Amino acid sequence: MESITALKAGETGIVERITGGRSFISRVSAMGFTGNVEFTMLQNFSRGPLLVFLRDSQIALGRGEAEKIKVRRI
Amino acid sequence: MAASEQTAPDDKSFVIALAGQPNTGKSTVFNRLTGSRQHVGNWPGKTVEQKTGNFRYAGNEYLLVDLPGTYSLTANSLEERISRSYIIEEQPDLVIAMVDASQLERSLYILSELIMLPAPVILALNMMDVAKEQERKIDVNALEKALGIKVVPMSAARNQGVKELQDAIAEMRWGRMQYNPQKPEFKEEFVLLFKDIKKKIAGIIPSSYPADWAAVKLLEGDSEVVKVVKENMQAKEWTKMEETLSHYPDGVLLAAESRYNWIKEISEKVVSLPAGTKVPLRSKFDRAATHPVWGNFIALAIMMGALMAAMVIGMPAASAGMAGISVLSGILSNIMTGMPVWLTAAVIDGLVPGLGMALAMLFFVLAVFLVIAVLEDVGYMARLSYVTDRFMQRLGLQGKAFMPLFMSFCCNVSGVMGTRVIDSGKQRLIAIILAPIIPCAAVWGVTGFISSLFFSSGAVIIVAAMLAAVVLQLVLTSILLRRYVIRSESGGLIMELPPYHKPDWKNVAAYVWVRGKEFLKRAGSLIVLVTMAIWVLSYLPNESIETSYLASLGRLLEPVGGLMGMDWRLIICLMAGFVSKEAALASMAVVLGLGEAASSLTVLLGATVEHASLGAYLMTMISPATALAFIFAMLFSVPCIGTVGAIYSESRSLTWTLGAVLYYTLTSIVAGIIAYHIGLIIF
Ligand SMILES: Nc1nc2c(ncn2[C@@H]2O[C@H](COP(=O)(O)OP(=O)(O)OP(=O)(O)O)[C@@H](O)[C@H]2O)c(=O)[nH]1
Ligand SMILES: [Mg+2]
Repeated sequence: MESITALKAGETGIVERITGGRSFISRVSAMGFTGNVEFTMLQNFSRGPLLVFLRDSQIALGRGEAEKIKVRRI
Repeated sequence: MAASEQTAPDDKSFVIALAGQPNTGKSTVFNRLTGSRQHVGNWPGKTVEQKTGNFRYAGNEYLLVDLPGTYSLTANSLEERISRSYIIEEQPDLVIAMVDASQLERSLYILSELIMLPAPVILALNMMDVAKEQERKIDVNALEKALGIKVVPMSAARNQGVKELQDAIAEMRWGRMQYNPQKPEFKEEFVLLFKDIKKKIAGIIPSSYPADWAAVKLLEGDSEVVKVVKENMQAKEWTKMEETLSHYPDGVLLAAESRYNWIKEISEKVVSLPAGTKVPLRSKFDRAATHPVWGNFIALAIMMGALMAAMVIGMPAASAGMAGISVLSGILSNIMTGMPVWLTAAVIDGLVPGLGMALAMLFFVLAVFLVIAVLEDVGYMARLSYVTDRFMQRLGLQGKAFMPLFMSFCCNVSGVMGTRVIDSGKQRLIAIILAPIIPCAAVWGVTGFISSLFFSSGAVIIVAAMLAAVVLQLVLTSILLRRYVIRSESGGLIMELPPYHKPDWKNVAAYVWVRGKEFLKRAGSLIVLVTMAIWVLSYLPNESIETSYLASLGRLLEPVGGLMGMDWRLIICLMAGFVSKEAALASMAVVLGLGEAASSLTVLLGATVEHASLGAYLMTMISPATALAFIFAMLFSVPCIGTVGAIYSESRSLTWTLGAVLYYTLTSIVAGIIAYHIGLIIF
């Protein structure tokens, strides 16, 4: 399993697991990140926050945050 | 529902709470419904904004309460706790769940939580126009059937569906509508667990808590519900409960997944998309605006433009306001001839300048809020936060704090009030306290004048040193605050970038108008009061600044001033900066015996300073080291009355306000002393 930061712009994947504390999980899951959800990477430069599209919306994720989201490419 | 027994209209207000995720159009609906009958304040004891408004429909009165926009209703943030405890404890008669039809899946999430709470819910399916543009078809009847609640399709910005929403509200009020909400279902393995939990917490949880809801919240490890249950349960029982719950360490995720599965099931039935359009195309502008390099340039250009716009609107209006003081003073002194001298002086030298100050600042506040409102409404603000976030995180703040801090360069009052764009209470408090560190236009005016006078070409270096000092103080103060005073929930960036929208001028106007009114009512009255107090201090006992109580205070502080190379007269000038930064220069002319003798400090508010003669005189009076000390003491000085008023009205806390005043007094003195001694070495 790799973390979501490994995906390049335009690639899609499925969220497998989210690690981290309860409050972190609660925040990202409210924004749509849960197990089995399909997403598309919109922007991922080597530094700075990522932009991800999922559940009809564009979400910005700090790199530190993104490391905790483990995904599978499709 | 008490309302269902009603058959005839009555006068009692029917209370409606407006809930929804950010950017779903809550404010738009709120403004359309209530027009100018709105009131902005804070939730009791909180830095979170509370908006309420009234409207009449079909002869009946309704009270609308705008809940903070949040993505969910867990106990993670202050805003979420406020929203849900309002619904649970205050028991509104109805909740309107605002949902964005163009982002149905994500925005229905809040409904999946609201529907578990006791208040009846109707769904406002907003942004239907956007959904239509995307060729996204939503079967409203099917959605109604699936949810078991009324669904009102609308495009609030185009004023479509507002009437239908009011109809639906009235139908609910008189109990003429079906309400059979379908609730999210959890996987089979949880059904037994919930049954077990519910049995154990029966009679333990407050009667206002729905049992189903409390059970799910326990699974999620919701801090508030856990605390309540733990406190009311016998220790042995609680240990058993904890044991049960420990089998589900990722309860939050399970609960969220169940809710989203429920939503997915429904949305698959009711939404149809044209084939092959899963991910929307991003515009060229949005790509550039979020780019790690170009994004900064765009942000810089837009912010410079915004600052300029605010100045261009604010400055002339403010100086017109100040000029109005002398006109008004003239008229009043004619009218008041024959009345006691102290009374005339109190009105003309104390009250009128205070009013002028409040008015001048009002224009800055309006100008800055106009700019903020447009950027926010269009959707750019989120992009700005996105690109500035990395830098702001170093200050322990979110990207959202960038805008208000930047606007503080124009006027600290508007910067402090601008912190309203920050949606986390704690983060907002930090930004409120930090905003006065940014030197406003007036501070630059005063310090620029003195540095170009004393250091001619070296002034550039001084300005660079000042900027460096400002950044340093921002960093140090924020570390101090976060380490010892406000433990912020901050964390990294997790933010939605909402779709761009055309600005809705009604929204913008309502935003600016309501803020202006608020400013006058709260900060404005405080400004007038404090100005009056300063007038008294600088007028008594002899009707002259030089022999006033204020001067005595200046003399008392001379030992401290000595460390900065200042005598009591310069100390008074620094203190005058508390009234307004411009007044510091005006008071110099007076206390240095250059201008006409003035009867009080506040009279100088509208005074014009003749820079040339003041400059020449200053050069002979003080040393470069003292000038340097004055510049830095001024840079770090106590916020002016207006800013202090704004800090109080925004933080609603006397402790924070006085704490900030004390803190900045100290930093001002320390900066002055350091600068003086560096000056002594250099010159
Ligand atoms: N196209 C379209 N735009 C809308 C509609 N309703 C609101 N908007 C726009 O959507 C944006 C967000 O609306 P707001 O009313 O500020 O949303 P809000 O829910 O109050 O947002 P927060 O205060 O951030 O929680 C604004 O630019 C509105 O003009 C609509 O029905 N159609
Ligand atoms: Mg709003």
